[in-house]
Amino acid sequence: MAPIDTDDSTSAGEGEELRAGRRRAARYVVPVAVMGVAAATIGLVPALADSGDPDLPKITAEQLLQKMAESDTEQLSGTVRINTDLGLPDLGGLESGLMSGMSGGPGGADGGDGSAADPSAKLTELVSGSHTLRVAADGPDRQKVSLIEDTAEYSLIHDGKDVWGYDSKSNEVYHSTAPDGAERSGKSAKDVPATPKDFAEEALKSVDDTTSVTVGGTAQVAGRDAYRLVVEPKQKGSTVGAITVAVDAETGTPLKFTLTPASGGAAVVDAGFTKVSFAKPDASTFDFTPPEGAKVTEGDGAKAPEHGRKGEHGPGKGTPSAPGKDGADGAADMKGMKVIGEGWNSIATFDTGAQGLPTGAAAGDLSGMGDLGGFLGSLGDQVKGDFGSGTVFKTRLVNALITDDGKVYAGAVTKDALVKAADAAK
Amino acid sequence: MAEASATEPESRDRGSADRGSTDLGSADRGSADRETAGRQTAGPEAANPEGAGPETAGRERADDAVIATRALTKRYRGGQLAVDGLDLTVPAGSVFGFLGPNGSGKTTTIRMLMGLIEPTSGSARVLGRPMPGAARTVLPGVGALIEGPALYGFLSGRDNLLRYDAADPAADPRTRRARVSAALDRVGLVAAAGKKARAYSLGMKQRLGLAAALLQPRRLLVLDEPTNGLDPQGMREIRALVRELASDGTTVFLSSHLLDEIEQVCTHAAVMARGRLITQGAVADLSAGARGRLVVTTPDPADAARVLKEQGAGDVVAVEDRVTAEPPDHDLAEVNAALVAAGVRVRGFGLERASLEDAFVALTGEGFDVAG
Amino acid sequence: MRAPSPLWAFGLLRSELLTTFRRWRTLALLGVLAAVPVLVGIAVRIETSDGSSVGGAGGGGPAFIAQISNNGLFLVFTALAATLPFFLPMAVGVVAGDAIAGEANAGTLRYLLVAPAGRTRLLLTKYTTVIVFCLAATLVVAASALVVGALLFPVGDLVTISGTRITYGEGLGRALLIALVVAASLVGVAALGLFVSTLTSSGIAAMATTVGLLITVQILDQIPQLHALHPYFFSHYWLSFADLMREPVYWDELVRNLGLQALYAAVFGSAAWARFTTKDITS
Repeated sequence: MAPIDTDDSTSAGEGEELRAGRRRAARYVVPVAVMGVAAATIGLVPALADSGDPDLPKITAEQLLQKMAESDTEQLSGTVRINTDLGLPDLGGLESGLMSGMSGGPGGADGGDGSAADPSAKLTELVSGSHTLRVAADGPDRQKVSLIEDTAEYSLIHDGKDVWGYDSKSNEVYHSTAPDGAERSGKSAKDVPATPKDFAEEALKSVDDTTSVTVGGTAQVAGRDAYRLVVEPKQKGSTVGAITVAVDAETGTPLKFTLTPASGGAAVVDAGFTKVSFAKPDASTFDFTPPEGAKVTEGDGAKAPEHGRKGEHGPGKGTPSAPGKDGADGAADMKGMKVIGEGWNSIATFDTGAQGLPTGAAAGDLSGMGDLGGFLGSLGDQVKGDFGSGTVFKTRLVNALITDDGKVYAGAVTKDALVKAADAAK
Repeated sequence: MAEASATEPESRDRGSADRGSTDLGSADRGSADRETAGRQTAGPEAANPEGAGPETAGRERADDAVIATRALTKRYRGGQLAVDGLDLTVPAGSVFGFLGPNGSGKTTTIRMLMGLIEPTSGSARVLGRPMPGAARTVLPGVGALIEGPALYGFLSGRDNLLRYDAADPAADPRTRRARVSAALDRVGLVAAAGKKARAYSLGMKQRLGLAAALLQPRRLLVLDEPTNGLDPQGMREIRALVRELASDGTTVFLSSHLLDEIEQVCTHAAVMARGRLITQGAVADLSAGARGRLVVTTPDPADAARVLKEQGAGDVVAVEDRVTAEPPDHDLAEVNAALVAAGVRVRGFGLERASLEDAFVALTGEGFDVAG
Repeated sequence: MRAPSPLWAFGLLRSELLTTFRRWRTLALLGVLAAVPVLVGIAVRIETSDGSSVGGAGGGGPAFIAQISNNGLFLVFTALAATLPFFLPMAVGVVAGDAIAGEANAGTLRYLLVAPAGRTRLLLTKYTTVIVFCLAATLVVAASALVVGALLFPVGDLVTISGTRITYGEGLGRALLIALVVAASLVGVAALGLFVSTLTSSGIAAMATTVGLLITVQILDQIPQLHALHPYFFSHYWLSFADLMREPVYWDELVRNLGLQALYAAVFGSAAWARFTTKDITS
């Protein structure tokens, strides 16, 4: 019943049995070949598509920085992929509770009355794992960031005076009016260092004599040619290995931001465009009217600027963007907060006033870390020194020492540096 | 099947046309010669499956065997040898009885001939073409009933036939309904055509299966145990149908474990046992192979036995007033005269013709399992 | 020798479609699928009758459920999201698993092949029919949801999950597109079921195996340790159909889903062909 009409089966012989078996087996070559082709396609096509690093004219770091500064990209849209690997233990369901605890500190809009559409509730989701964002910007007044979730999406839309947060999963809307200050730059209204540009700006603020900035060749990002700006700490003791920013060769727009830890391994933060377009986004992108029946939570207009700023720094610290003077300054106005050291080796310290591990209610930017400590208590390393004894909690980037008398030292530095700082403070 | 004569005229016409192409041809042709002819036939037709041209028909005329197998062997995966080196030749126009106890390899052979099972080794040609290679061109000319009917219980009898007809790529969809009606008519199922097949009795299912085999005018009809489950009336109808088809020139390949069925309708027969072909040939020849016995009925059995022995008869058995013996070589009239001359009172004197069962017992040395 | 009709393939396909869709079992499966949107619709209607929203503030429940009470069209998406993980593929698994094995079980397979249906042709016909069933099943869910949604809830312009507004007409267009994508998402299961169906002569065994595989893959897809394998599970990108409700549409996972389904169809389709065309039919 072979589908092919063949007459070759007429010649009987010793080989017949073998031949039939072989013909039978030959059919199975087809599915195996299909699988092979598929595997080869999956494996090879990305490799082939990667046409190597583009050939671009040589450029110095200063020129590149200038190019970035002069960049007047105001209109863009694209897809950003953010991978964050802090090396936190997998907490599963605990994580979300933990994150909301963190956001409850600096960024919480109205205390515990959380709306699912509240931006601060969503920002902390970016701290771990892999996320896809879509960004669109049209000048300083109109931006949109959407966090792509399974069968749902969280959108933050800034359109002139209005800032809307829309959570499609719960069909809830958060609304606040944009502060005047927000209009000076698109970034602050976006509230979140979501685009590579935001990350890059954070990183570049820390450029000083403690930092080396070089151009590390070229790369292709989202189909565009880009220079790689490599920012490395000069000092020892930092957990940060290097920060690489891929800068679009044509427009000077940062396209990709990568933070690799000194300990090696995968990037702690890897945020980059997978698609980007510098065309003006469709105007309807920024139109938003709350859907019928959606629950709308009004943000407090007067407090909005303050919230906005704190919200900005909160995750900026949580998502370990470069901990530089800026971060330290921001943190310094926290009650009892002091900054020891400078540049990459800055260590923030404050006294919780409590004995042992602080609770999540501790004020200040680092309450998140303290909160974290509460959850990770059993996971910390016990250390002893001149300061007494304490517990060190480690991630791949930020380490924190909580002494038994309630002092907290935290920074993107190694454990030894923390102990040294604690000893010095004594 | 009483209404069998009321067939669609078109199909009848095409049936006789087919007969014209198969009846001719010499039976003396050697098998090597036939092989060559088959190859020649198959060559151009394989390239052109629609080859129904007169030239092709003319060439097929040379190929007299409707079914020819050579060393056909099937060994199932378990190592069980179901069919062992079968050399079967079914002449065109014959009603061929395929005889053997249950489990003797008949059904496996039929499945190989129909392309359902691939032979382990050896070859089979049906209608002059290799199977299973040429299934698409061969099978439209073959009607089959294999191991009982199989129907879609949730479809009506008519819809069952429409489905089987649709499965045949050679069937013209425009005349499908007419064909199905004719087939239903032929097996006497018109009245029950609208009933769901699951409500049919076994006999009706068997008839519907036959109707499916008769949807097209066929050159070969393969009927595997066609009278299974039928009452005596149904069996008679089937036999009448087989004879009628045969008289139209269709070759009928009839497998059965019922000897009398074969004896009543078949012109040729083959006997299988334990996967091997015991014998094949014309039914008359097979019966003759087992020689008849001389039977003398007499009140003087002892004298009769003595005289018969004197006359050279072997294996003389005397039971009451019946004396049977292997007939001697010389004229039986002289034997009778000798009996009378010796004063034996002869009430009856005759030769009892051997039955196919005698032939079978003689060939296999064992009884025939009729239980199945 | 009669000339094969040029429409030979369609005669068998038509017969196969009629046979499949006349079966009580097929109709029962479609009936169950049609009932799902009715149940979801009534449940949402009851829960929201006091003005509250469904699923609480956390947004639990199947995708889009929070929006149903405001726009009935979302019931189409919710119903598809609710039936896609299990009901739809199970129905497809039953029909695909039974395709060859069921015929073998009933003995009708030998008569189809002797007719002669041709093994490759029969297999193609069977696969086409299963795919038609995928489409029919999806459309039944979507149509039922559309009607129930329009009866129980207001309809009108709707807001995409990206927060932009589209007209009801465009929403209907997207609903149809989503139904087609959901149907295409089942193509892989259909090929898998067909392959399983060629392995056995028991229709029940083939159906049970297919549905069992379906459940197993769904469970494996939830195990984080198998993360590296997840992108190759046929069910992994199923919910990507929701990406059609973004503005602009996010194609990455949709394309990946369709590619994966095509791969499954090619691998298991050809495996089914290799098996079926060399198989001894002994039933």
